[in-house]
Amino acid sequence: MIGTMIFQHIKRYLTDFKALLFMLVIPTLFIVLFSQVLSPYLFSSQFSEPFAIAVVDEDQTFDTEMMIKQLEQTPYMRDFIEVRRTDLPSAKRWLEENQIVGTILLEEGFTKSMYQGGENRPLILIGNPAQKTLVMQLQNQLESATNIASAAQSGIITVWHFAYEGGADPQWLNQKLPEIILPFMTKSLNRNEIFEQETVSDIPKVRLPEYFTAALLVVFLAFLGVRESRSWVEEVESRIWLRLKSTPLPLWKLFAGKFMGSFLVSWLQFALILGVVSFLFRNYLGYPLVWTLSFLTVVVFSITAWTFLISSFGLFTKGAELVGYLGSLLLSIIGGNIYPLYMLHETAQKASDLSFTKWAMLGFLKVFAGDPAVSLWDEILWLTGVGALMLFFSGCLVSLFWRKSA
Amino acid sequence: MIFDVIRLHFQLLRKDLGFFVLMLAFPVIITAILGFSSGFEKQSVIRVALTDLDHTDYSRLIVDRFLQRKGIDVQVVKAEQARELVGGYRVEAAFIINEGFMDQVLEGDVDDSIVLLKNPGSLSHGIVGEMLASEVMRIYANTLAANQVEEMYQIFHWKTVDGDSLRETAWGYADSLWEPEPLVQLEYREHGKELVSRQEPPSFTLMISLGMLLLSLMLFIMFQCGWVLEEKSRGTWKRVLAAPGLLRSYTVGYMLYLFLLSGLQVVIYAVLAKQLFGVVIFATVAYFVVIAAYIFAVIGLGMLASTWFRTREQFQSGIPVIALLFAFLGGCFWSFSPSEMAEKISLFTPQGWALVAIKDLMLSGAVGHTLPVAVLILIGIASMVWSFIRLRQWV
Repeated sequence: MIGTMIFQHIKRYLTDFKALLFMLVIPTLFIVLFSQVLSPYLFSSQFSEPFAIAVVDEDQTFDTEMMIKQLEQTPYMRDFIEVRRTDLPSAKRWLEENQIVGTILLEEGFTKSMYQGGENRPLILIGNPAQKTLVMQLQNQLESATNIASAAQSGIITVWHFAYEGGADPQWLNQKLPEIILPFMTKSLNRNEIFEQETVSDIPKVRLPEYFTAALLVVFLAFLGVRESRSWVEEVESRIWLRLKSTPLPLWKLFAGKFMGSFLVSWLQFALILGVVSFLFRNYLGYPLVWTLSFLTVVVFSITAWTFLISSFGLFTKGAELVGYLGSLLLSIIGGNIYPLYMLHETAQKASDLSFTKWAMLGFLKVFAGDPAVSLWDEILWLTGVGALMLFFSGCLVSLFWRKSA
Repeated sequence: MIFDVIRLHFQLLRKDLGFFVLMLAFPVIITAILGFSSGFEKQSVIRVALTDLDHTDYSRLIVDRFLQRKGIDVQVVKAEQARELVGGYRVEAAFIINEGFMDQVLEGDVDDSIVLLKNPGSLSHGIVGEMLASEVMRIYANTLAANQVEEMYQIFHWKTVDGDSLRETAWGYADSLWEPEPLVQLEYREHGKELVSRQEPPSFTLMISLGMLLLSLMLFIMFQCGWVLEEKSRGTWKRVLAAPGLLRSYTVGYMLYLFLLSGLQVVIYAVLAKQLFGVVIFATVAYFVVIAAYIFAVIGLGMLASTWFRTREQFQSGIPVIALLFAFLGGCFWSFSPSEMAEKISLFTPQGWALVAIKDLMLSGAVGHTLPVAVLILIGIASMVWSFIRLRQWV
């Protein structure tokens, strides 16, 4: 009996070739669209954004030129701050037009004051009051740079002062000055060597199409599953339900048969779409095959459970489709499938543990990253748990209706 | 007659209590998205994590001074937490002061003494790094100066000025030069406020939430338009066409019912957003006018779509794809325009026009939304007329 139900279910799907084609084209299209349009903005910083500044060099010395070049050429600055060299009137106009965040002004005599040993001329920053957050970041950058210069200068003054106090001849000291300055200057210029840089991310190293395949495929199948929302109702309306009730067939067999049928169809669908999309986007599928297939199976299990939950709702209300659509949308948002998880509120991040879309995505990212040392156990357990929970509720609803319709 | 049809559908709605409850839950879900997406907003301070594995006077001094810097929010955490925070994009960067840091400073070689952790999206890690580097450089320069002074005194057999340790005196002298102010200063001037254009961009969270509202409204309305196919399978259309003028009243009545239902949800959403998150979604009546025009357009498109699909199953598969595609192209998933081309493409969707009108209202508050509203109404009328023609052809 169960076998017949599975067969009927598969037959019904395979006869609709248009729908099958549709299922292959649409996810591919969306993965392309998301990769092309959204990707540059998805993993951007929450704390800053690129901005432009103007630099007005009225001093025109070798030192000021070196300072500006450092601003322009420091690796981390290149993608972050656009430096525009100009004169003061243009800089002011850009500030008025809100084109730049601030203007750095190096007044005439700036370099000379640094070497004379008297009071230094300040570095001037003219900030744009309409962009306070970014002005603060620029101010911090420049203040740190002036502090580094202060550190070097105070060190040099200290050496000079103590040598002089110790009895060194001022003329000899002035001759030795370049030798004293050198280590301070060298370290100031190479201050970034203090850091040993390392890039870390919770998101496994995958290419953009791989990322969006992992993120979007499960969302599509969740959406497509909504069309199953009327499957129970159709059986009730076409009186199959009534006929089944008059047979000795227990409800659990009916439930299991339908579930197995849906599960197998979904498995084939998912494997087909995954295969085609991975072929088109050259997604890496080098993760151990047994694990990949096991993972695919639990993903499909959870999606089928979701579909079943929706169709069980369908026995009680016409709004099951609405639950399916909006539920799939909500799950894909809190699951991090549309926007990265870290961008969401902390409550949403915690709630996302209960969304199968999240675990499916994380698991596929690991599969595409292809590192066999990284385990899929967490994802498999969560997907099984969440799927079982949905299936349990679905069973309760169907059983309730079965008894009600007696 | 039209009102009888509306009444009939509301009576049917009353019978399906489950659907009625779900319909009310719909704005709650959209409001929840508004709350969930609050993390999308750019932060006014840069969040950083800091770990001190050295636990010496020097490292503690650096931590204390770094904590006092403005414009950053420093969390002092353990090394593993620092990695988690950076990897999870919750901080812009993390710094781990390695064990042996002070020894390295004293030996005059501070290279690789601090680990800088950043994530691929990190942009301002350099600024924060520069801030920490300036604190390290202050201690390093003091120490380097003290080392050089000590060395010179030893070579030239100079006598110390007083009885204190020469190194400490020189170190203290170098550090005292920072008071009352550092030797090289930054002078900050603010450009004349009155000259600067102060146009604030629309809130990211709000735009995402509105985008999701537009998408959900389309899903809801289109799903409801499946009614056309349901009536087809029941043979209702043939009976309706038999009575002159009934087709128009029957469909217009249903469309008005849908309009009222969708409008009700928008109102609930606006009230919930205000009550739960204190966010005023629709500041003026003009916003409601835009949303009303959008609902009108989508009802038209929904009716038209329902006449293009042969079966309800095909319709069910097509709805999410149409809604998601329109929402994507229309700009519901982002608050900015990724490119000029994307902006142009968005105008082929009702979502694109609705968002143009809403952004216009948000930025200027002015009634510059006449064209988008007119286009939305035109889309609605055109697709409704077309759906009538298709319906007649069907029957």
